[in-house]
Amino acid sequence: MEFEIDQSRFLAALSLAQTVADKRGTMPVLANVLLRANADGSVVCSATDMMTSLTETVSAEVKTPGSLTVGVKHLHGVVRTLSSGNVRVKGLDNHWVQLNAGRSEFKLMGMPESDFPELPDASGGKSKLEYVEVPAHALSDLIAKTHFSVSTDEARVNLNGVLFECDGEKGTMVSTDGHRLTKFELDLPGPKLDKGIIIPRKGMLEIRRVLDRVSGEVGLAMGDQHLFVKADDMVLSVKLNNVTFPPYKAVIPAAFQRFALLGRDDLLHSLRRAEVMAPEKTATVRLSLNPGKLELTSDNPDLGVAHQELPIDYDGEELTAGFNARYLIEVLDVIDTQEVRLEFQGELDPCVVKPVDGPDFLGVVMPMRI
Amino acid sequence: MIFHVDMDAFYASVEVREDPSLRGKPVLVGGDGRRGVVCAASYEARVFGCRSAQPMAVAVRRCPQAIVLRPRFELYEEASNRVFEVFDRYSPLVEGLSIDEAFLDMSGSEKLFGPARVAAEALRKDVFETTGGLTCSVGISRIKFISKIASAMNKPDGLTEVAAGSELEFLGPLPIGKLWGVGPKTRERLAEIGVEVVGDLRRFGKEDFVRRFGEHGAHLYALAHARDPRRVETGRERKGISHEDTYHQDVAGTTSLRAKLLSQATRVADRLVRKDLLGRTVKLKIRDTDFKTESRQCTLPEPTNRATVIYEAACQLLESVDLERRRFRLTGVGVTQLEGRGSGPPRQLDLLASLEKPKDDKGDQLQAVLTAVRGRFGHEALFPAAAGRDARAGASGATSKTRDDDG
Repeated sequence: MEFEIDQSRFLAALSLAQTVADKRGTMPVLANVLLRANADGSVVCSATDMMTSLTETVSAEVKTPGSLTVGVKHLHGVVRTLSSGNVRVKGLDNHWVQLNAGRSEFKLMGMPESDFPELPDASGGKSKLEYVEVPAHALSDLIAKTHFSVSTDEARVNLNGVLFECDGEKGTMVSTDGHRLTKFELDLPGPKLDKGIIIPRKGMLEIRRVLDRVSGEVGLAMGDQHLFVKADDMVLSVKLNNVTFPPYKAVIPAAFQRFALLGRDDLLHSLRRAEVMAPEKTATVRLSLNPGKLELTSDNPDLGVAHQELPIDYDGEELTAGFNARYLIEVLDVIDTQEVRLEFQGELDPCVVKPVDGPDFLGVVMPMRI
Repeated sequence: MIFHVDMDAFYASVEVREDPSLRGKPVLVGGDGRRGVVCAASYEARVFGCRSAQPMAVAVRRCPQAIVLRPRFELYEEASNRVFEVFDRYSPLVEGLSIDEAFLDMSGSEKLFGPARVAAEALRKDVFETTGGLTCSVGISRIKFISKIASAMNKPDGLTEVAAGSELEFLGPLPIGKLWGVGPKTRERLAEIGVEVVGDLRRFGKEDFVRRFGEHGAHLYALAHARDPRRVETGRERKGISHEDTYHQDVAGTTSLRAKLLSQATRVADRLVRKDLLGRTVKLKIRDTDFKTESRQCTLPEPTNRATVIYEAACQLLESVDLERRRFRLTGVGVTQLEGRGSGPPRQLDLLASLEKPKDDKGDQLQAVLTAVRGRFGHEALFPAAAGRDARAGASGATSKTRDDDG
């Protein structure tokens, strides 16, 4: 097998493949990229960790069709440092791969390409998959506003992904790590899903990487076990975990006793300052809601105390509750309206953060017992 | 400045407070059985050579007229809580060493309480008034271990201050055994090289001394030179509370073992409730007739003080123990990773907890009531029937050991 390919296009494909590939090494071949050169003048780069799989087709000057597989980390490392121009890739005996660019030559040890697993069929095989076109930026926005509260605790499998619901007109994403929950809904002429699907964290981040490279629309389709995302010359498939997301609507407070309107920037900046002085591990900051003002106090016995006051329009009962500053900061970070609304029940009840005159977004943050 | 505050003959003093007719009489608190041990001796009893940790039989022989009382831990805990409340008023940095002694870091408190000696007198008065007449002794110095030695100098009801700069002078004439970590063995070895008092030790060069006594030597050398960099540590993790029984008749089979665990979990839970603590890690200890001891532990999702939760965790742990053809002579249930209820570090609450199990504050309340009843009327008053008759206090069949390492 032999082909010649543009360095920057090759690099873009390898960059994506590199994040998908599994470097932890339970199956060594999963740390590889599969390169298949076709007679029609294209090279397909594939990578998978068995949960998330990606193929990207790049045009190239194919001299001899064929395929090979080689560790993506080092291939990417080499290609990244090459100067722009053409790169020649050639398969040698015993799975060796030779790379030539200008006057440089590299030989990398590959593996039998037959070891590389077969990837999910993006056409759906017999039961043909129907792709629905959705605006890339909308999907990207959904992920951007909810990804940060996905749980990384592997013991809570059903929280290790973002819940995606779509009725064909509106799309919703919800994530929670048990301490806070984020929900965002927007108009999305997406595929009609009978029930919500949980897109695992890694798959979600890969989708976002793909979307970053696309302007316009991407195709979405649901297979038996996979969600497929098709964009330009890329196809991403994400295997869905067969777990059930908690009935999240039940934990979004339906009522509140107090609410306050605040400038988003003021609050965000105060919280960032408070976080500096808060205990590192818990990031606890004490919020006191008083008529006319919101007080933020962080107290780190090893460091000192920070006390801040923000003028607010509030004349209800006083309330003091402790929060992990990080949780509030992360919610505010993805709100882009000037004003935000905080809704409280009691000091041990969740606080709801919403944009004022903004999209259908909300963050629910559980307080700390202080 | 660091205060070391030590209550005087604590258990005995509490008993005297409860029953003023005991005042001025020799009082021994401890088990009165064949294997009983003295937990506390009033100063009147100490005159006769009675002291804590002595076998009760020995103490009674030395002082036949002594009044022997069984310990009532709930009372002492209650009094201890009052005492520590006073400590907390004087310093934000209180390191409890046990139920009746603590270090207080009084640095920077002069503006509030005046000079150390004045503050200490105020604190002693405060303890006396708050507890209804209990006395304590205070040691004051810049160095932790010196404060501890000092508090014992003028017991009971005393105050000893080692002024800044006079630490070496103070330590010099003290018997070497007063230093932390010098037991009878070390004392003997030190005597061989002519070290009787702390000052003697200073005649040696550090290297010479370390060569003779190793790492331990370096430690002693530092202490003898009044070097103890340890700070007063408030956040010191409480170790744990456990209850174990050595059975006079071996126990076998899941059902019998579970009954024992239920009884033990109940006792541990009671102690947690009384101390207003929650435990996060549950431990199981089990020893078979070949003296093979196994222990298992697991961490709960939420810290608890409930007997049922501790029991269930212990049963789960028991499942991983091979019970086939084995008989057991000891089981024990304990909890570690203790934290105060409300006073512990800030705890992130779980948003989904209400989904996973319905909110039941009732469980906490129930545990509190059960504990209170048993505290007042004894363990036989209310006990899970499944724990069996042996669970009842006084029922023979086991030698119990309860540990509260939560100083």
